Amino acid sequence: MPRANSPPPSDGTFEQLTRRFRPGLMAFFLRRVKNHAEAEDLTQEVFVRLASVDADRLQSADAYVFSMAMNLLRDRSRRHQVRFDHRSSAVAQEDAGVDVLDAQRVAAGQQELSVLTAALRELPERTRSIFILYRMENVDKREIGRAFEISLSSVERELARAMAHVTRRVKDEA
Amino acid sequence: MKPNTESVQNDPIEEASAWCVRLADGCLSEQAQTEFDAWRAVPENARAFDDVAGTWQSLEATSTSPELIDMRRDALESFRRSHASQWNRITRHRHLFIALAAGVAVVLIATLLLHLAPLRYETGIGERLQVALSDGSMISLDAQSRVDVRYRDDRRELRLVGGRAKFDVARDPLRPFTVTAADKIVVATGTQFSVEVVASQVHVILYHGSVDLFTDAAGEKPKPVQVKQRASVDAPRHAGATLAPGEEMISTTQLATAEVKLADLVRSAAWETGQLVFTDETLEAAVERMNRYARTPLLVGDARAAAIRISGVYAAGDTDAFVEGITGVFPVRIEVSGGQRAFVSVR
Repeated sequence: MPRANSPPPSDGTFEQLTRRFRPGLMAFFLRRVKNHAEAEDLTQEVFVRLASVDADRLQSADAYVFSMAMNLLRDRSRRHQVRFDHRSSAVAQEDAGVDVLDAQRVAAGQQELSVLTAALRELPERTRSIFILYRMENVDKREIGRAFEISLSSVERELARAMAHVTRRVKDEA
Repeated sequence: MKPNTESVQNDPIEEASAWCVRLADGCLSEQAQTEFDAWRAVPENARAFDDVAGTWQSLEATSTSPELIDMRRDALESFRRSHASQWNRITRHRHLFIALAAGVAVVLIATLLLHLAPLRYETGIGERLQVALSDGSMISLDAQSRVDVRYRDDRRELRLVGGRAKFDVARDPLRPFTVTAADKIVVATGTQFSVEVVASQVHVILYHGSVDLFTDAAGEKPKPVQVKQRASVDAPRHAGATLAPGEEMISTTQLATAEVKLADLVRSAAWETGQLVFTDETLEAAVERMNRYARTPLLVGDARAAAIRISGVYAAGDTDAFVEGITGVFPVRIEVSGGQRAFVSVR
C-alpha cells in the first residue's frame, strides 16, 4: 500500500557529488565518446547509480566512482557494438594507454599530495579560502560572493586562477 | 590594457580552469556546450582540460590530509568572519532589518507551503487525462488513477498513488525524475515509461531511454531491486535493476525482487487510445484494469478464478463484451448479488 514518506537522495548530496566528480567524469567520458550529449548522459548515469550507494563509502572512493564510469562505458559500447564498432575499438586502445583519470591513477601518490598542498599554500590567502570553500566545503559560488562581498564573476575568476596555478605546479613536477 | 592581456587570454590552462569551474556547478547551457566543444576541438585545449580535470580530481585525495584540514579550518573561519561583519552592519539598521525579515518570512512560508503541498492529478471512472508539467514533462493518466507531483530545485518527485500513468520526462540531468509506486521507486532522466499498480504488483514499461528500479522501504536507503528472471531477445542488455527500452519489469509489492520480460510497446500503450490489451495476464489484473472504466465494478469471486490467465483486446468501458468474452472461453461464470457481477470458477 502507498505510504506517505519519500526518501531519495538527501538534500545537498547531489550537489556535493556534482562538485566533486563532474569535471573529472566529463573529461573522462569526453575523451572516449567524442559527443557532448552522450558524455553528459553517461556522467548523469554515474550520479544516478551513486545515489543508491552508501554515501559513507564515497568519502574516499574516487577510484570506485571511476571504475563505475569505466564499467558503464564498457556496457554501453557492448550494447552499441554494431553501430559504434569503430568507437568501441578506439576505447579499447585508449584503455591500454596512460590516462590522467585512470581509476588507479586517481588515488594520488604521497609526492603529488605534497605538491598539491604546497601549490595551495602559495596562493594569496583570500584566493585560497575561496577555492577551498568551493572545492572542499561545497559552498555555493553566490554565497562565497556574498561573504567576501565580490561579484559572482569575480568568484569564478578567483577559482579559475587557483585551479590554473595548482595545475601548473603539478605539471612542473611531472 | 596591459600588454600581456592577450597572452593570458590565450593560455589553455587558464581557459581550461575556467571551464572546469563552470562544469563543477552542473550542466552547461546549450550555447555554452557548443562553445566548450569548439574550444575543446583544439588538441592543445583538450589536453589542458584533461590536466585541469585531473588536478581537480587529485585534490579529492588531499582533502583529509592534516595540512589541508588546517587550510580548510582557516577558510571556514574567514568565511564566518566575513558573514559576521556583514551581520553587524545589518543590525545597525535594525528597524529596516526587522521589516525586511518579516517580509522574507512571509515569502519563505508561502514558498514552503507550495513546496510541501504536492500537485495532485486524478481521474475518475472512465476518464483519461493528459497533463503538461512546468518543466515540459508530460503525464498521461489512465482512468481511476492518481499522481502527486512535487517539484524541487534539485529533484522531481512524483508518486503514483493508484492506477496507471505514462511519463514523458523532459531532460534535466540536474533534477532526477523519480516515480514512487507502492514500495518501489523508478529513477529516470530523459525518457518515456509507464508505471502501473495493479493486483499488488508494480509494472514498469520502458519506451525510450533508461530507468532504474529501487525499493522504497521505510527508514532505509533505496536499494536496486534484484532481478530474478530476465527474458530478453539478445541476452541481458542491461544489468541489474536497469531497464532497456522494450522491457517490462514486474515487481510484487513487499518484495525486493522483480521479473523482467519483453513488452509489446505498441499494444501496451493502447490504453491511451481506449483499448485494453491483455497478454497472458491474470483475470484479477484484467478485471482491475476494466474496472477503471466501469461504473459498476466487476468482482472476482474466488482465488482460482483470479489466477486464470487471459489474453485479448477489449474496448475500455465495454464491460459487457469483456464478461461475455471471458465466460465464453474460460471456466468461469457470472454470479450476480446485490447488483454486482462476480466471476466465479466452474468446478
